[in-house]
Amino acid sequence: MTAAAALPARAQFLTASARLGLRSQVFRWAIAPSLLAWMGLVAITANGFEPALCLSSKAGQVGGLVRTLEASLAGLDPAAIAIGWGLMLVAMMGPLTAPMITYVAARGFADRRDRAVGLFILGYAGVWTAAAAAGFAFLLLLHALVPHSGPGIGLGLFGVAAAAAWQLSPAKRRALNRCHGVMALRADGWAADADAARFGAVHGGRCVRACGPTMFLTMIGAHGVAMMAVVFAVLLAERASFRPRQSAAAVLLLLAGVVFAPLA
Amino acid sequence: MSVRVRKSVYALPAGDATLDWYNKAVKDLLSRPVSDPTSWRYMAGVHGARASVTRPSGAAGYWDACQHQSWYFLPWHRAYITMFEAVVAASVAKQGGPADWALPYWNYSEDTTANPSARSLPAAFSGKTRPDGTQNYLSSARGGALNLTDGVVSLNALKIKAFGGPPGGGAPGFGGPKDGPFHFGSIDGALEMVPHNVVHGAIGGFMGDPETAALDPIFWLHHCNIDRLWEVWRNQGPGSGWRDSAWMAQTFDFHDASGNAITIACKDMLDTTKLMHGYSYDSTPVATAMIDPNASGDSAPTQTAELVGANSGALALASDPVTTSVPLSLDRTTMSFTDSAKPKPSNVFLNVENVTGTGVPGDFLVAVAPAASGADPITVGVFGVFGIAQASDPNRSHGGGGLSAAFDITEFADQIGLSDGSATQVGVTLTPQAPPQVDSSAAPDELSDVELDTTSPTLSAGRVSLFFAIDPDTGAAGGSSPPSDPSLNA
Repeated sequence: MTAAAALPARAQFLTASARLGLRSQVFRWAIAPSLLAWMGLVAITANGFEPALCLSSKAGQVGGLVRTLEASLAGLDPAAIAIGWGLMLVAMMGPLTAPMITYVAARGFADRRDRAVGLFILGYAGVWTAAAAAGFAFLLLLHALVPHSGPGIGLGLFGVAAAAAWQLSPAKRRALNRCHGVMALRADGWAADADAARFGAVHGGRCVRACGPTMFLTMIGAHGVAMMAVVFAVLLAERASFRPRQSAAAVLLLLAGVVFAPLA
Repeated sequence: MSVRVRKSVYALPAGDATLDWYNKAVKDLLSRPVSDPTSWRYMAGVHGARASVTRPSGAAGYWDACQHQSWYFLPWHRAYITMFEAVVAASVAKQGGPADWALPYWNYSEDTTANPSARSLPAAFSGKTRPDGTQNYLSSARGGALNLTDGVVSLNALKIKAFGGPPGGGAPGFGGPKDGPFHFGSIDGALEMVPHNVVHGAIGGFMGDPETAALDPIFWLHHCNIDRLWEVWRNQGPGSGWRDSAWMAQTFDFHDASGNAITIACKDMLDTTKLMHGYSYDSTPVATAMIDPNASGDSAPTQTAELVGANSGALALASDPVTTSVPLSLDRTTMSFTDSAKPKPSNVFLNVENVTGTGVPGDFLVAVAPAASGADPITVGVFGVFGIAQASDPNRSHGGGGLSAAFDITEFADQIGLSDGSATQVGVTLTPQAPPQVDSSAAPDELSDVELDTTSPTLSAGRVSLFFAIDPDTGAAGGSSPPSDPSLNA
């Protein structure tokens, strides 16, 4: 019998957890929330509810922008939209921040790692919340402005094509490079708090710039948990790659758009 | 065919023609168009090229590929110089030279009692004209006196047992942090910093900038020596952090001597006799340990590192020494030299983090102040800023975070007042050195159009910090005596 096997089951689990990094700030602040959010999204979908990630189409809406917008808004449940978007951001953005959370934790005092990472997340989430509000307004306006009927397949494919074009652009590559940037963080007191939150906001801005267009353009039409998973895989892979295959990402988004758009 | 044997450039016998053939090959490769993957300019572009240089069609995926600041630094450059060796050897053979031409190495760290010239640039590389009146193609745009100091050629890196280090504030590993791959990362591995970076900086000119470095023929002898030092380290026995499936599987793309695209995986670089044409070093045995990529037994990284203090802000480095204070919080850390209830650190690292800059600034010395008043600062190392402009550019592969390095100062823990817990702060002095004065006219006429980065050099250190680390693997490092130089240089 090995020493590990002699331990009580709970201790064994904890030992393994520690070894796997389950006690790390990355797991606590990014991976675990992301897993829960994905489970929430899947559960909502499995129970027959479409996550309120984008707008139900208002086929044949006429009568001017204001009335169309009013009609669009009237059919929406703000709480459902907030929950849907919140789950999406936590699910997708959590793992993308993992390297920076590791950095913030490793470069700070052990007794204030959670505080620093929490402030980093606060700054990061603040920027993403503002971006999400802007993204939502963009989608709302687009659906109101562009007359379409049915599920809006044409508009959805246009969105996916635009997302694919963004993936191929040099601007996307530069934005992606910036996502890897780190900065010096002061270690103690208010200065450390300010630096952690500031770095979170700066990183959030870089993240929005690199990933926001891909997400929001895709969401013009094609959406749902499956499409979200494809976008997530693309964003995660390009963040981890030495030479991101931008053309492969574009093709994958287009294919997924064709497959999932009719479901929208 | 037996493998090629790479020899010390200073041990080549009188009348040996290795460098003469190298000279002829450089001339031949310089005459090839840049679109030819076996041309001098193309091969240099694989390492990196100035933004103003027009990339040949098909270069995407091959150019601007050099791996720095991660544990892919050594394998990428191994494949790179071996590819180069194949191209040069083919040119030499084509011109009627020996069929077994091999790249020599410059062992600048050699004991100067055995070789008084070791620190000097080999004579064949100086002077624009050869004794016979023809152009010397081994000459290049370089700077200064080209006599390297002992600090620049230090082999302290060989004391580190772990190949890869966690990308935190502890030991960066012999080969670099377990991170990447990327063109430019943020934390230099021990060997990459010294002697690699600082030799680049000390030579200057083309060599001082990753985007022109491989245009200098001495680049390849320098990297041949770095590659040899990897074999020296491997012969010392395996450390941990070596058998990593992602590392083994990582591939890089090059061209062979015929200009055909080839892909080489890290796992295929462990046995040098089987890499492309195969090679070995004249006085360093082929490392037999760690050759089998499928052998089991490596553990996950076990090192833990913890911040014990950091200075309060960025430091601008111009020409004068800059001193900063790193306040310590020894009572709140989870490791302690004095509190027996806490685990004792095995290593102490002084980190200089997020160093950013423009142009090609000089390197800077890093010194700590002893606790005793009036005692002279202890120089703990030199920070080589090779590639600083690329690492500081937010649009480049690592987002402009700059360069960081960790200096192992364990052996000075007593003098600084860390061991007895008496220190409340550590004084750190950063002393900038002037960059070498470059003589651009010494480059071959064929390269007269190459632009050096003449941006006004600036340099700034983002943070100076102190870390404690517990590293079972490097327990022998720091305070222990280094491996004796003669055995390293044998």
